[in-house]
Amino acid sequence: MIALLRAEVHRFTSRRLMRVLAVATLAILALILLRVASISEVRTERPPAPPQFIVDEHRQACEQAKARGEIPPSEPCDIEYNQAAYEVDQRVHARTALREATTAATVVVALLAFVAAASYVGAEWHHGTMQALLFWEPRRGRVLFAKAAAAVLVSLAFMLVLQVVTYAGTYLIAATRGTTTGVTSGLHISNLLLVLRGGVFVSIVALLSYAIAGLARITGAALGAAFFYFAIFENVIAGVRPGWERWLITRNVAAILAQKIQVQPAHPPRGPGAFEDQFLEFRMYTLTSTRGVITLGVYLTILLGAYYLVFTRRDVT
Amino acid sequence: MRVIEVSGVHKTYTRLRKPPQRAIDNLDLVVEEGGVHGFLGPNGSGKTTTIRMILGLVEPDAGEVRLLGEPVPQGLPDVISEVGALVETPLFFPNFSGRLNLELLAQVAGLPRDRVDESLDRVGLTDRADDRVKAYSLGMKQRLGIAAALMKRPRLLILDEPSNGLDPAGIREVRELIRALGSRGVTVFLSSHLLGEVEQVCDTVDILVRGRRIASGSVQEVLATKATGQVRVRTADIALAARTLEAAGMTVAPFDDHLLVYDVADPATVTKALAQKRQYVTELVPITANLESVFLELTEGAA
Repeated sequence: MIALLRAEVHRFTSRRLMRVLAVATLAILALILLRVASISEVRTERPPAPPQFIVDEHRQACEQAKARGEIPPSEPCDIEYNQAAYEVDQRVHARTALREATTAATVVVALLAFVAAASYVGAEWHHGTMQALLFWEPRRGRVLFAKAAAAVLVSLAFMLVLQVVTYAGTYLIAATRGTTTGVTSGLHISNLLLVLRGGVFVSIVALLSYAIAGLARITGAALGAAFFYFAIFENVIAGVRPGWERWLITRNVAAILAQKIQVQPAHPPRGPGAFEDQFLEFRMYTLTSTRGVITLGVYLTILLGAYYLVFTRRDVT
Repeated sequence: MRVIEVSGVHKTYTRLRKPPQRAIDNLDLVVEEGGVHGFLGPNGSGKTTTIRMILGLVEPDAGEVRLLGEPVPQGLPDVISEVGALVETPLFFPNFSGRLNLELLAQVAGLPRDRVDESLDRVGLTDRADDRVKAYSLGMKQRLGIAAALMKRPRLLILDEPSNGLDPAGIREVRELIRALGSRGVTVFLSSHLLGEVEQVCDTVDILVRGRRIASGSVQEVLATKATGQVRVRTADIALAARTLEAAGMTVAPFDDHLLVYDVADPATVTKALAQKRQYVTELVPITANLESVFLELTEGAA
């Protein structure tokens, strides 16, 4: 099993798409960090003087009002505006930026893992190499799980690299061009826990994509299913059945990353004014990260189970 | 020992909005260890389906398949390390080099890396091993497929149309390779359309038509089922020999330098008839059917 897993990791990482995605992501990350570093500063600004035509119109109106006796003649007719300088703080604040960067990196890796895992299994069927592999390892269950493990391991390894680069880069920028005030060991631990929850999320995404593409035996199936689900299905459900929000993937993902979020209750009030009347804000359902992991885990088990049944029974022709 | 044993196997493919297609119909097949075994049949006769069933890729609807004595698919993991296979077009990642493709397979089986180089060398691909497979010709891909099958140093080698896409020199190399493997004790199960090749390298054959076996045995036995009964004879005096044989009750057709004798059950009767008249043969050749003509006759008859 170890030899098979090693071969699958080798196969996964040898794919050109994987290398292109990895290099492109790291390059884009480097550009983002450079851009953030370049704009991280405290700037002093002064409010701009009003345009001359405004000053003129104001003075004219003021003089006319004085002539009509509406305002005392001693009143000045110039526009008063605050010319005091103020500071614009555009610095990177490590206390918040590290967490934001970690979350963003997790989401990016999850998207990449989805594409990579679907492409990995889709390409195997497309090129027929799955058949060739079964001449060498006929235990299909092993093949399925070795490939799934490879998809997860590589995704997590890449996530680790990206998180380290993102975290270190953000901290470096904050330390040199921003501020690290408020950064404590507790914050680092909290962010580390966020990375770990992100790892769970990335693993689930990679496996979902792997199972869908494997079931259909094409890469496009996973991508198409994802588009349909996220672009159409979730929006329809959120609109038509808000009480089902807690079962939607995006809400559970948000709960995993944020530890807990508020979603609509199972039976939200309906009709005009219902929300205000029933003080809905006190009835929101709290979706926790544990619940999110369990829900997504159930979806994953169903999909992987279906793939296992099909893969171990269906003819390979 | 029986390296392949197929008994009472049926397989029907069901397809959406199309009538079911019976691929294999009560097939029995036995391949004994050693030598080269030919597996012949017209397109769509079920050869590849049979091979896929032997390798556990396709599940039969009924019947039993055994490979190296183990039931398929349950016992396949125990024997797969001794079986090399090339089924139809070799299947590799086109963006990987030939070497990397083989290395990945070798890694699965825990084979040493030098086995990859050895196999590449065996099929003459060492110089192009680091090129991407998508740059390979069909013949080169075929060689790579054979190299992959040889990497395990198999006891049983299953080759489905291994000469596909090869040039004449390549076909000869594959033929010699198969012969060499056969003589070294490897059992080769060869499915091929090249009947001349099969006749030259195979010891035994099975002929399949519409999923059924219609002939089986050694090549000589199969050829004998369609023996022509013709004998070509050369003597010093063709005309005199023709008269002698006709007088002995045989049907004869004289030509310039030889004559053909028809419906001869035993060639010795020809020499005996001539010798009794003090005419001596300088050449006597029983004209045998070749595998191609037997194959065509059998398959057309079965169809």
